This record gives sequence, C-alpha cells and structure tokens, in this order.
Amino acid sequence: MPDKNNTKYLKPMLSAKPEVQKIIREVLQLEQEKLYQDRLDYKVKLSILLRGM
Amino acid sequence: MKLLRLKLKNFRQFYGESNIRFASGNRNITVIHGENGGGKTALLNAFKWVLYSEVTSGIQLKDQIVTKRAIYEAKSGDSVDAFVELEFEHDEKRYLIKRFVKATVGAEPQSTRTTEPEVTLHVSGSDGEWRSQDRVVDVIGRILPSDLHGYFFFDGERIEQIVKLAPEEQDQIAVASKKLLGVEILDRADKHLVIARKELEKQLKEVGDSHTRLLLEEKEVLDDEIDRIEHDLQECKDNIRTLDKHNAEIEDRLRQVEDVKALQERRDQLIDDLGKRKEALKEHLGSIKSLVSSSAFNIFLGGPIKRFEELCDKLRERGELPAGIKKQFVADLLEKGKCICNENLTAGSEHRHAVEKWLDKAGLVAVEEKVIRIGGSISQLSHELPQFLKQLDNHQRLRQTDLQEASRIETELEDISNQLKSSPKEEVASLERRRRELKETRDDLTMRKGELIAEIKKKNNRQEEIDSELSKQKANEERQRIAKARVDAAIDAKNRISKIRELMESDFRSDLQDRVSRLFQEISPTPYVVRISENYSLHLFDSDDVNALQTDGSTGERQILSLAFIGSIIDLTREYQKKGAALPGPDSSHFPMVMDSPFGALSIYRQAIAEHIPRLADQVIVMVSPSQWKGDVEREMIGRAGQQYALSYYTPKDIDEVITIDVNGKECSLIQKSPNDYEYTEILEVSHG
Repeated sequence: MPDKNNTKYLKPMLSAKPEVQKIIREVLQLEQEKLYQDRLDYKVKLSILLRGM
Repeated sequence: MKLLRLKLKNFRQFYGESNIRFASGNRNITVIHGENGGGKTALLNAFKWVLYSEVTSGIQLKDQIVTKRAIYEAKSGDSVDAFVELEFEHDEKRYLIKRFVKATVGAEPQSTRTTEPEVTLHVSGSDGEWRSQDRVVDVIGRILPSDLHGYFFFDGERIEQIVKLAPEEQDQIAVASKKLLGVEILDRADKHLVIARKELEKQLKEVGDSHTRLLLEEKEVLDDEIDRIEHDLQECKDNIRTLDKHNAEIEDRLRQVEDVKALQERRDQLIDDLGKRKEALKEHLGSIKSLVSSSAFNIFLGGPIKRFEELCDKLRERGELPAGIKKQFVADLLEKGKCICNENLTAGSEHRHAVEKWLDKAGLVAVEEKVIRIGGSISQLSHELPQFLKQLDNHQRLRQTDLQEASRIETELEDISNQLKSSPKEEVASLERRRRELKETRDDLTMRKGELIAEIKKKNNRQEEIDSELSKQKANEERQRIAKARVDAAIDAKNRISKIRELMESDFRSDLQDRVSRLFQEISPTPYVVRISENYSLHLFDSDDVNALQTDGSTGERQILSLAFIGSIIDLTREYQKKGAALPGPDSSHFPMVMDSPFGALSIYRQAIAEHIPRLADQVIVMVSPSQWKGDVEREMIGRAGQQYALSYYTPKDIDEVITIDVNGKECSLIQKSPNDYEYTEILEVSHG
C-alpha cells in the first residue's frame, strides 16, 4: 500500500488545519452522494457542516 | 464492476434463452468463438443495450431487438418477450439489471409492434436480500460512467479510432478519464464551496464592522460580475463550437464537389500539418522556458567565475596556494617555544621570527580547502554555459523552422481559399465565401474569449486581495469572529480542493503518458514514443528526442496504442484509488473489458496483443473468429481462459459445408444450415475452467 503522505496531490488536504481537513473530507463525501442522489439537500447539509465549526 | 452472468432471451439473433457465465480470478478470460455474422457484435450490443440503452452505430434499435424467428413462429396477437439481463458485482454489492421489450405480433410479421424498452435494477447487499432500485441511469453511471463505456465494451477492429478522434471527441476522453479519477466530485465541491462561501459572507456582513461590510460589498459586486463574464465566456465557447461545426459541414460539401475535391483534401492535409507545427511550436516554447528556468542563471555567472579565477591566480603567484602547512601547527610550535628542528624559539630570536612568518601563510589552508571545493563546482558551471547556449540555439532554430513552415502553410491555405473563392462554380465560391465569414467571426470570438478569461483573472485577483484584507481584519466580537472563521474555512477548503484537482490531473496525465509509452513499447516492435497532450489526445513520435517527429503509425500500431491507453487508464485509476483512499471517489477497483474481434487488423502484433490482453483488465471477455483464434492467440490465451462459449449460427442459406471449431478436443458447429429456414444463433458452453 503506497504511503498516503507521499501522494503529492493529497498534500493540500493533509497540510490543512484539522477542521478544514474535516470539511474537505465531508464536503467530498457529500458531493459523491449528491452526485447520484438528488434527494439530499445539499445546501442544508453544507451549511450545517460549516456552522458546526 | 465484475461481470458474473449474462442472460438473453430473443435478443437480436439469439433465439430463446441463452446464458453466459463469465470467468474471473486467475483465469480471467471468457472466450466467445463465433464466425463473422455469427452474433459477436450482437453480443457486444447486449452489454451496451442492457447497461446504457445503446448499441453500435448502424442498428435501428427498437424494431430489431426481438429475434425474427420468435416473431415468425408466434400467432397474430401473441406477444413475444425479449430481454437482456446482466448480473454483476460492484463494491461488495450484487446487481441485476434487466432491459426488456415486448412485441405484439400483427397479422403480418412486418406489422408487429414493439414496446419502448423498460429497465429494472435490483441490488443485493450483505444481507442477501434483493431490493429494487430506482434511478437506474444514475446508479449505473456511478459504477461505470456512460461516456466511458466505449472503452470497456468495444469493437476491436475500430478501436484505433480512439487515437484518431476529432478535437471535440478528444475532449470527451479527457472528461471521461477525469470522471473515473473522481475529478468531477472535486469540481462540484469547488463550485459548491463558492456558493457556501457567498452565503457565509452574507452572515458575516450582517455582524461585521463597517470596513468588513464595505469589503464584502465590493466582493459581492465582483461575484456578480464574474458570474456574468463566465456566462458570456460559456456563450462564446458555444458559439465557437457551432461555427466549427458549420465549417466542417462546408468543408464536407466542398469535398464532395469533384472539381475542387483535391483542393479541399490538400487543405485538410495542410490544416493537419499546421496543427502539428503549432503543437511542436508549443513544445519548443515549453522546452525553452524550462531550459531558461533551470539553466539561464549560468549567463550571470561569467563575472563571478572570472573574479574567482583571478583571486586564485594571485594567491598562487604569491605562493600562498597551495598552503601546505596548518596554522594550528605553527601556533603550537610557538606555544611550546621549540621548532621541529629542535631549535629554541625564544622571544625576539631570529628563529622565532622565521617561524612566526609562517602564521600568515599557514592561515590559507582553510582558503585552499574552499578553493578546491568551489573550484570543482566552478569548473562544472563553466562547462554548463556553452552547453546551455547550444541547447537554447537548437530549440530556437527548431522553433524558427516551425515558424517558417507554419507561415508557408498559412500562405498556401490562403492561396487555396482564394482559388476556391474565385471558382467559376457559384456553389463552390459561395461556400468558400461563407467559410471565410465564419473564420473571421471565429477569430473575433477567439479574441473575445481571451479578453473574457483575462477579465475573470483580474477580478479573481482583486477578490483574493479582499480575502487577504478580510482575514487581517480584527474581529471585535464573538459573533463576527465565528462568522469570519467560517468564511475563511470555506475559502481555504475551496482553494485546497482546487489545488488537489490541479495536482491530481497533472500527475495522472504524466503517469498515464509513461505507462502508455511503456506498454506500447512492450507490445510494438517500433521505437515510437507516446505523448499525451493536455486534452488527452495521443500522439506517436519517432523517438524520445526533443527534435522527434510526429508520426501517424499504421492501423495496427494505432490499435495497440488504443489498447495500451485503455489498459493504462484502468491500471492507473486503480492505483490512484488506492493512493488517494483518503479522498472519497468512485470505486474503480475492478474493471471488465469486453472486446469484439480485437485481433482483426493486427496480424503481426497478434501474439504480443494476446499476451498482454489478460493483463489489461481484471476480467476480459473476448469474441474471436476461428481464424483470429487459431495459432498465436490460442497459445497465448488458452492458459488464462476460464470459460469458453461458441456462437452456433443457423443460416437459412444453403452452405457447402458446416464450419466448426475444435475447443479442447470438442467440436462445435459455428455455421450450419438452419433446420427451419429461420436465421438464429445458439450460445453453447464449450469449456469450463
């Protein structure tokens, strides 16, 4: 298994503050779900996510 | 996506029900033997139809789904079902997709009416329960995007088209490859975080101080302006695309006029050449830029190198170099008051005075060490300058040649255009006039596009300045502090996602180029090197040299290139998914490849291709005619073939002899006379494991 820290393109995420890392992961997760399931209310979820900071 | 089983009923020429189970694991090849016309393409279409409701071009879909034999055998008013059902595994779930039609037979077979195709999808999770799933297109699209399916289910004889696609189709390859990588998700996140940021800025404006409000108002105005310009930009791009389409139509019509056909073909060739020259110019410019950024500093080193050499020469003249004796050693002698020749070094004595003189000289040992160290680098650097200048000259010369050639081509193009414009045939002259008008409009639009891009950049820069000013602002109260932290986090997350996307794409493209090149060279005996442009178009060059010339390659080489490209995309996407497991993305851990006659035009490369095919994808379904199979292909693939089937075709025509194939000592008929005057195909399992 390659060392994830050695993956150059992940560095912008791995070097972020923990709260921003969490936002990036969750936003991407949300986008992946949203990509195929329109019933998720994206704006509501994103807003909850950011307000939870 | 791991294919498990395909079931057909009355689909195309497959009369009644047929089943195929697919091999996987170590023996991952399913071989399907069939003669030309025996149903190989129909079988390929079964995959495309059930998953994407598509078939290869040239087939009228709806009215030709149900096998004719079933319709002829039915009575008027009877209904005949036809379907394709595919079972597969993906991401630890099992899927069963079925697409079906129903034909109601009329008084005459020709008046039979077929319903619109319907589709059902069932998914079974870890509990083993099958559940019906809505939104079939979305679910299948998530597993294997529709616009990518052509890479995984393809007609091998036409596969070289992947490397000979029109520019807009090349863009589709780029988009589709990025989709597999999960770039689409990053794009969406980027776009939505901008919306989230705007929302959060509204909240900050409500609680912020007057200066914050002022800055946010300016940002809001900029946001609106950027939206408007982006809209204009999109319109501009759409217009350019429409003009290109019209232009292609005009050129097509000119190609059909006998008198000017040759001129238009010459123009096609010139436009192709001009494109290659412009591509080469771009590459030379890129090489010059990278050469200048890595080695241009040598130009400024002339003065310091000369000064260093002068200083060294002076030291040598004065006998201070080489130093030969250490300062500490002389100091120790003076301290002890005794020389190495046993002479006493009493204060004021002549001997002491002589030894003290060595103190100054001995001090240069450190200098000598540095001279040796720096001297090595200096000597290397002084060789680098002429080399740099030589390389620079070389690139400039090539660039000049390409510029001159591009200018010559443009002149010839202008000349052709003038000839067409003054053609005595009014149709030709009018078409060419229209073509020129389109070109002028296109030039204006291209310029406008450039202006709009620059305008967006300028406004984005101002927004960044405002962001930086805002983050320096001190928050006076808790509410403002929290609102500001949220805005900052949204901006930070957005910027980082953009960066991830940019890095991922450039890494992927360069890794893809290396991999395709390696795979291509393993299969092809030619020394050609593959390069992949920004829009993922593939080009062959005659060597790895910077001065290498682009070559079209033969059909066989283009087929190898396409297969190498598909295999590399599969391989690399899988690797990236493992590497980037920290990011959510599509599941790309297992890919099938379904190929109809991949050995058609390959002749000399058959054996090499057959050797590599099992490694290109996790699971391979290959449809072959006996002439393609026997010999090299069979030898290379038989050891990896987990399942073999034969398409046994019944023809109403009289035939001289039954065509058979021998599989593991078992003889199967591939073409035989139909016992009932209907044309149909049966699928026979001929070897398992």
